[in-house]
Amino acid sequence: MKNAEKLDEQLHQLLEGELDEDGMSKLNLELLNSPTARARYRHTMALHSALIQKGHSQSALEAALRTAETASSDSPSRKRSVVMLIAGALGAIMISGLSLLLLPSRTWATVLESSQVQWEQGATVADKAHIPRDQLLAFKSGSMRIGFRSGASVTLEGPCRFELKEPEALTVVHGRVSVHTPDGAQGFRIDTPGGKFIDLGTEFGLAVGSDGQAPVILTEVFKGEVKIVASSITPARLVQGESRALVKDTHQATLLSALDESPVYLNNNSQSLPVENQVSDAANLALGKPVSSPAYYASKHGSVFPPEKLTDGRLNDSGVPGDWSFWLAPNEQHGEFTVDLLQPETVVRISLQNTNNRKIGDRGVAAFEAYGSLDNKTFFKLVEGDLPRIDAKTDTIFPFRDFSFSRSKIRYLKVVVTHHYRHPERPATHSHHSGGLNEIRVFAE
Amino acid sequence: MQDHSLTAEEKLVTLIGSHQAVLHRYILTLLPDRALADDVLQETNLVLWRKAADYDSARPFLPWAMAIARFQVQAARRDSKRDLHVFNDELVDVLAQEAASAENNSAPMDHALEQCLKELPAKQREIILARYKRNGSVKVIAAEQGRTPTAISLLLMRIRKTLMQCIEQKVSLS
Repeated sequence: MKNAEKLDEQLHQLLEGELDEDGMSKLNLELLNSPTARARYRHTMALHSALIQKGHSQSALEAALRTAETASSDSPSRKRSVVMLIAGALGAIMISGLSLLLLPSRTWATVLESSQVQWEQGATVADKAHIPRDQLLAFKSGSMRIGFRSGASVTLEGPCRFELKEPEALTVVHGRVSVHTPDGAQGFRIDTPGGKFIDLGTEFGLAVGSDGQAPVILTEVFKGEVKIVASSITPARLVQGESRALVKDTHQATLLSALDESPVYLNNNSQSLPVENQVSDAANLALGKPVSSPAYYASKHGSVFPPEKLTDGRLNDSGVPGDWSFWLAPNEQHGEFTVDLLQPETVVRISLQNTNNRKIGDRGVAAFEAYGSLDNKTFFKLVEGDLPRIDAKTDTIFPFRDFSFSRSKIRYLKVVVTHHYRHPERPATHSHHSGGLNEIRVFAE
Repeated sequence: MQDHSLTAEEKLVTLIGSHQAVLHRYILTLLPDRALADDVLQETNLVLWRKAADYDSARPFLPWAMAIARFQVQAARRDSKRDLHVFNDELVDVLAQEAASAENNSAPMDHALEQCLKELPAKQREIILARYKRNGSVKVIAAEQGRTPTAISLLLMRIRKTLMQCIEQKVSLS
């Protein structure tokens, strides 16, 4: 009895993808040795199969009915085609499981899991669904993990554009990815506009961006070894702990060991989706609003940090070269910026998320003063405060700090940085330091 | 001549369509991966269609179709190293033999399943059906139901057990 319960539990784990390798080998042995266990397994799979087919039929019918609802005010010919669609779905249900005939041909990659993915118009791939081949897919935000037949998996973070062209490779045009390949899946490849990154049994990260004219790709090896192949450079191998920026200088591809005077650091999300901040932007009056600043930090290789990044809803120093999620003041300046709420709003609170400049740690707000205005000329003080330094080693998600003040009607919100963090190990004469901030959120309550 | 050919095609389409459930069950038993089994079923359907000329309508359809499905399973296992981590070749051979033999003697379970689903408490029925909708996952259901993924997973295990007991009872009674 106890054995039967144990077997049922193992089979349940198998169906839900929760069985680890040790569990699989134990189940393998149990089924091989016991005809009773095999009979139980067959019955379980028969139920599983029947429920899958019922699910296929149900989904086909619901999709048809949804189309019918949206077409209820359409032309008669459209309505006729919808009726045919429903008839087709019903037919598929009557011929048990025939809807499976409509599935795409053998797949190369499947979505293993996703979180809050917002697809660009015209592209949608749901959890557990196959990734369509030869189709450029793009999502604005969120993250997803894709599994390949070899067992390799790739975590993609939005905004991201990618395409599946081969069975064991993924083309990433823009965005951050983390790759994991188990034993036996060596050779899995990420193709980028700048070069190819061949996994030699490892975990590594990529940030695929641009300097506006040429691709800039950052990579860091978390475990194992990666081979980089790009035109005009000798193929290079990186091992655990090494990182590079693949850039084009004077039309030649070059591998740099530092960007902005620091090695490249990326987060390892190769085996799970990135952790997200538990914050809602539903009542955030600043989201997507224009921001101006007298100046911002801009350097080569896509290291540009304009003020509109302060209200883009993207957090935690995410992004890629040319499209980072945070604002930085020019070198040796505290910096300031002004958010235009576009209309007078009564506000009581701001919420700030600091930056540490992609784990470099040489920038960020230490203290600030916030002012309000209705005409962008006369400002009155709302609040002042301090922000702690982001700890690059422990903070995978950066905290928001709230600052409340008396109810004030404003259209413009100016933040003046009065003190900023510098790199803890660089000399006082070093010029690479400034204020900077990831995100500002403004609330009426 | 053309009429005769069309009739043969129609017969084969009917046979393929009416055996989807049993072929899916057979393939899923050998390849316990939902997405992979769906793909292999489709490949099998295409091969059955292409080999229509080889099919002798005087002989039973199911053993012929299962033999082709078996080849497709082998091809998928060869292409997909991931599945090799689940069952080894020896076990798949044993399962294939026993599943083929069992399919020839199995009672249809669709009707019993429908009955047993109706007998489930409404909440449990909602959860098990949500799990099997296309793209339904424990994580999504947990979020919808405001419960943890672990709680939903345990509940699914209990529901499946209840359904299996119910179906076994109904099939044996019939």
